[in-house]
Amino acid sequence: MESPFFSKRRTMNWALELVVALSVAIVLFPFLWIFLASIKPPHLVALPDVWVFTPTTTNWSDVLFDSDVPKNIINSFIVSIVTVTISLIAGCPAAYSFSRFKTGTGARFSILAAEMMPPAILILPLFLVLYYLGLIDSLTGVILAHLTFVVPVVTWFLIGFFDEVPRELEEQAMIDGCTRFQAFYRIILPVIRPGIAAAAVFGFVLSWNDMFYALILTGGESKTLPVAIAGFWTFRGIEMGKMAVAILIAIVPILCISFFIQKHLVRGLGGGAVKF
Amino acid sequence: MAGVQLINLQKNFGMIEVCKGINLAVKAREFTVLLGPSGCGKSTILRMLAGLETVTKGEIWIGDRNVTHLEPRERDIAMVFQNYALYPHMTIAQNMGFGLKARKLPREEILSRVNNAADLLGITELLSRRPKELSGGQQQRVAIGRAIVRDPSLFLFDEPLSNLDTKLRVEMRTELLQLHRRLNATTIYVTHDQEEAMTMADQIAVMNKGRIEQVGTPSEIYFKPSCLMVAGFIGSPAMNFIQGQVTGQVLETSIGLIALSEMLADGISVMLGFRPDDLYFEGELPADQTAATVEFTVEFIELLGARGIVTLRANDIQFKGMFEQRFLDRFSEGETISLVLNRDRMHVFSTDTGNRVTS
Repeated sequence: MESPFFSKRRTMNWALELVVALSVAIVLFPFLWIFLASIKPPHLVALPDVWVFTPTTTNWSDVLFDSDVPKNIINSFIVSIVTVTISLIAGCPAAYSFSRFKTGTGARFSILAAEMMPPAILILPLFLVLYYLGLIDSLTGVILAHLTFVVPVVTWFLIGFFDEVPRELEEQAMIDGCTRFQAFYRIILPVIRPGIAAAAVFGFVLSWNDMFYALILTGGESKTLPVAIAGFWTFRGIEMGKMAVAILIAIVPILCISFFIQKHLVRGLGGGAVKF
Repeated sequence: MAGVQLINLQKNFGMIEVCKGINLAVKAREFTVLLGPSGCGKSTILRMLAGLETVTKGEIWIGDRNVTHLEPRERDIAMVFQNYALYPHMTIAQNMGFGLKARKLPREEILSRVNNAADLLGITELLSRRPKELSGGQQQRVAIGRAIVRDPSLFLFDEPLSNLDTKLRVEMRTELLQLHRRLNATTIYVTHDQEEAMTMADQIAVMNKGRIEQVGTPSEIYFKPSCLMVAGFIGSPAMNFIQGQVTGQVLETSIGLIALSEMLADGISVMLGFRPDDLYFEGELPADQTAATVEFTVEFIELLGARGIVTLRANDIQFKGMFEQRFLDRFSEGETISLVLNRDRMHVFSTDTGNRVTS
C-alpha cells in the first residue's frame, strides 16, 4: 500500500513534469511556427492561424538555389570560425595570466569595457578605422569588429576555468622539466579542454548571430547570414517564407555544434587532479 | 645524492616577512622534517627550495651548486604535493613518465624506470588507469612514484599525508620510511604533524613565525626542547607549565616549592615545564629524584586505550597527566591525589627570553 507521502510526491512529480512540458512547448513553439512558415505556400504565409495547408518546397528551393544565402552562409562560417580561433589563441594565454598573476583586478574588469558599452558607441570609430584601412565590405573587417567583443567574452569566460585548475599542476610540470609556457600548453590547456570547447561554442554563437556590426560593415560580397535574413524585409514587404528558411538554416549549425560538443561541456575531467 | 644548505634565507611577501633568515644544513641521504604550526613559513621554504618562490635574500645550495636563482626544472629535485597534483588527462604511466619525457630520455629507458618504480610501490596494475579512477592512497603512491622515477638529488614532500585518513596515514608513513631506507635519498619533508616528524625524521627543524627555533634529532627535540615554543609544540598532550622564582636550587611556585637538578641564578623568573608522562605516584621515585609532591584535584579521566589522560588541577592551574590504563582506577573525578614531579625531567625556561636555562 502506498503511503500518503509517496502519493503526494507523485502528484508533485506530475505537476513538475507538466510545468517542464509547458516550458518546452513555449520554447519550441516559435521554431514550429518558423518551420510551418517555411513550407507554407506564399499566399498563406501572412496568415499564422492557418494550420492546414498543402506543404510546398518553393521557399526552400528559392533560398538554396536562387539566392545569395549559400554564399552568406559560407561568409558567416568563415567569419565565425576565424573569430573564434583568434579569440581562443589570444584569450587562453590572457585568461591564464589573469588567473595566475593577480596584477591589478582593474585590468581583469577593463577587458569587459567594450562589452559594457552599447555597440552603437563602438561602431562609428570602428567604421572609420576600417574605412581608412580599406576593409569596409570585407570579411576581414567583420572579423576585426567581432574580435572586439568575442575576445573579451572568451577571455572572461576562460578565467573561471583556469582559476579552478590547481596551481600545483603547473608547478609539478615545471619541476618535472617544463618551462612555464610548456606547462601551460602541455598540462593546463588539456585539463581545461571542456572550458575551451564551451568558450568556442559561446564565441561562435556570438559571432554567428551578430547582425549589428555586419549590417553596417558589409553590404555586398561579404554579407553574413543574419544580414541576409534581414534582407528578406524588402520594399515589397517581408518575404516571410524565404526568411523562415534562412532562419532555420541559421539555427542548424548552432544546434549541431551544441549537440556534438555537449559531452565536452560536461565537467569532470579535472577529477583526480586534486583531492580535497 | 646531495646535501642541502640554506644560508640566511629570507622571504618577504610585500611588507610581510615570512622567512626571517633561515640557516639549515641537511646532510646527504638525511631525512629532515620541517615542523611547525600553520603559517610558520615551512611550506614557503620548501617552495623556495623547489624554485617555485623567488628568494628575497640568502642562498640555497644543493650539493655544490648554488641553485638560488635557477628555474625549478634546472634544480634536479622532485616534489610531492599535498594534493598529489597528478595530471588528470594522462594515465598513471604517462604521469610517472612525464618528467623523463620532458627531459627527452629514450622511450625504453622511460618504460623501464616507470615499471621499476611501479613495481616498488605495488601500483603496476594501475599504470593504464587515470588519476580520477584511483583512491587517495593510490594517488599518493603514484605521486611518490613520479618522484622516484626521476632519481633526483633531492626529494621534497609538502604535507603529503594530510589528505589521507588516519589509518592510511600511518600505513603510508611506514611505507615512506621503508622507501627512504631503501633509496637513501636526501629528503626534506614539511608537516605540521609532530607524530609524523618524530617517527620519520633523522633531523627535525621546528619552525615558528618564520624562524627555526631548534634543529635536532627527534629525541633531542622531545627531551631537550631549546625554548618554550618547542616545548609547548612537541608532545601530546602538551607540556605542563608553571611560573616560578628561583632561589638557589629551589623554585617557588604557586603549587609549592620544587627542587631543581641544577643551581640557577637567584631571583630569576622562570617557566617550569614537565611532560604529562613525567608525573609519578608517591613512592615510585627515589627521594633524590623527587622534585616535589603536589596535591592535585582530579577533573576528568579520558581513556585512550592502553593509556589515559587525566586532567588535574592544583591551585587553580590545570595540568595534564598521562598514565597507563591499569593505573587509572587510582583516580576518581573530584577526589584529590598526591603526585610526584621527577627532578630529572624538569625543563626550565627563562620567562624573558623563552630559552632553556637548564642543561
